[in-house]
Amino acid sequence: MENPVQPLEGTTSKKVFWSALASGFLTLGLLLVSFGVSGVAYAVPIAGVGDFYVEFDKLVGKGYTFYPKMGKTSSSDSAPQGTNIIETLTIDNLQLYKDFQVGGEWIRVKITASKPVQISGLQHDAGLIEANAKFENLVLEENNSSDWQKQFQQTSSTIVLENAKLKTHYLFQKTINMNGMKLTVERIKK
Amino acid sequence: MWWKRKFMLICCSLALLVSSAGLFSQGIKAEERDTEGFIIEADRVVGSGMTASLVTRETSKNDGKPMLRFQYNSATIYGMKLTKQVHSDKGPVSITLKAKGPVTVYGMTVDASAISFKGACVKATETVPALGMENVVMVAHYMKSDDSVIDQLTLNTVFGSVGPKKPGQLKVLQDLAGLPLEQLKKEIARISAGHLPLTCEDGTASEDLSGPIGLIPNPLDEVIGGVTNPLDPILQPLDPVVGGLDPVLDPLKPVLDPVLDPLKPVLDPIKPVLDPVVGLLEPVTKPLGPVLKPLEPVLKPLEPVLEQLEPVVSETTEAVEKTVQTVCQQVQASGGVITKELGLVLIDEALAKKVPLNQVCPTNSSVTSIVVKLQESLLNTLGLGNLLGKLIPSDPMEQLRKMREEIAKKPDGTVIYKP
Repeated sequence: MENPVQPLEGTTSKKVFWSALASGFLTLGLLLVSFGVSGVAYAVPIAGVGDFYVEFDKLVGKGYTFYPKMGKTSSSDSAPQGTNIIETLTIDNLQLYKDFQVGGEWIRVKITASKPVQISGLQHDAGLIEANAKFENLVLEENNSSDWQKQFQQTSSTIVLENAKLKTHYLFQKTINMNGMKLTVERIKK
Repeated sequence: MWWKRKFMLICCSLALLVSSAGLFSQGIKAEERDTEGFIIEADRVVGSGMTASLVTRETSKNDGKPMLRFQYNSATIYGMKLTKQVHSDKGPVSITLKAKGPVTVYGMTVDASAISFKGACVKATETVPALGMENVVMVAHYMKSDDSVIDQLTLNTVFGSVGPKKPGQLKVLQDLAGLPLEQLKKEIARISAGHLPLTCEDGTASEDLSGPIGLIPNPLDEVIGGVTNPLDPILQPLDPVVGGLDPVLDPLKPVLDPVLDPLKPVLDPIKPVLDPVVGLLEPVTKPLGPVLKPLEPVLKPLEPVLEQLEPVVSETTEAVEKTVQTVCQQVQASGGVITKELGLVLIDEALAKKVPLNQVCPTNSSVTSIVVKLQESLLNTLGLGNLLGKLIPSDPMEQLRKMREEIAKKPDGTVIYKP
């Protein structure tokens, strides 16, 4: 007996597919070339991949401000976070990683920098920060404001974080100079 | 009786309405939790150079509220936890800053509207050299420090209202809170001038002052107070103890005597021991004689060599000077034609003097000009300059060594420069 349900077969436009693929590679290539030539990337956001972790041996920064915010995470459209703004900073032994479950296994996509990373205009939204910290001219204060995000803020002229681990939801840099960058994908056990 | 039933119904409805209103109002009160200030908790605070005073300060709900200001030259905070609650669009949010390790701060100022702690009564504008507080809970609105070191910091932002219950407001702050601004300023000035108590009612001491907490005394005072006063009752019972010591002291003498006595004979023999050692050195060298004898034929030929070395050294220095003269003269005599050998001698001389090639013969201008041209020619012909004219390497000594290496590769007698 003939099957009454006939599968609907779609066709892929080869012209559209190859042109889209080629333009994607071209854009990526241009980005990598510009990054490789100058060593500096401009206006770099890292978002939309959900929570990821930032770890480093040492961060030395100037012009630090912290205030609360609500933002997206991998599991919620609106979760409490803290925004950390640092005007200029240098990070030693930076590692950014995100773990994905593929099938029954976990893989870790990791970006490392073997040389000190220089960043200006950092905005870092984190749910959790663990580190040994040093501050100069640290101020925690309240302000009489109807905007709840402005009611409390923490500032310092300099910030030093050592042996840090930050659960991060969003990262933006005006400029980043990341020499010795390496991207790895590895299988991990969890 | 229809109206009786209606009356009962209306009464029940009213009772339900009143009770519901009461319940809802409580619920609303619970929702509107006071989020003013951030709560600082500490197991212990040990500080130096502490001064307390009264100020007015802005909060998240108020432009000017009377507060207690604590200023420390330095302080160490153990078990610190800071919690701030805010009302976001999505509900209450708590920011928690916790330090698992000690927190060290210098030049710290904290403004608090409420505080509870175990410790001494703090008086207005009085500087306390050292102060200890325990189980501190305060509602702070401003905190500043020149330098802060926070070990094992955890900064966390979560949904919900977490944190301890706020401590009750101090009486002095309660009294000030109801005053108009001008009167508030006058009252603060009066309390400050009179050094009136701030954290206790009567100003003598807080109920928790007993024990080690509170004002940290001068350690010397503590020692003197502890030794001088208790001595009186102790002196009498000491008599039998002193008496009992007599038999103990006596046996000590014989113990010391036999120790001291044997020392004398020990000291004396040291001299004879040293003497024979010195004396014995001679016979030790003598027995070595037969061992050295076979070496004599070897050593003997060396003697004339050593003797000759002195004149050789003196002649060498003279020869070097002569060589330098000869090099300069040779360059002059060569008419500017520099062979491989002459070039090597020139470079060796420059390396020995640690000067550039053009300063080997500084007194002879004609030779210097030849050497300058030679250097330029060598740098160009040996490929020691880059496309931009910059020399590789830039160090003059390194240049000389590089030039020497290149010239040494040439066959003997090769003319390396000709004007």
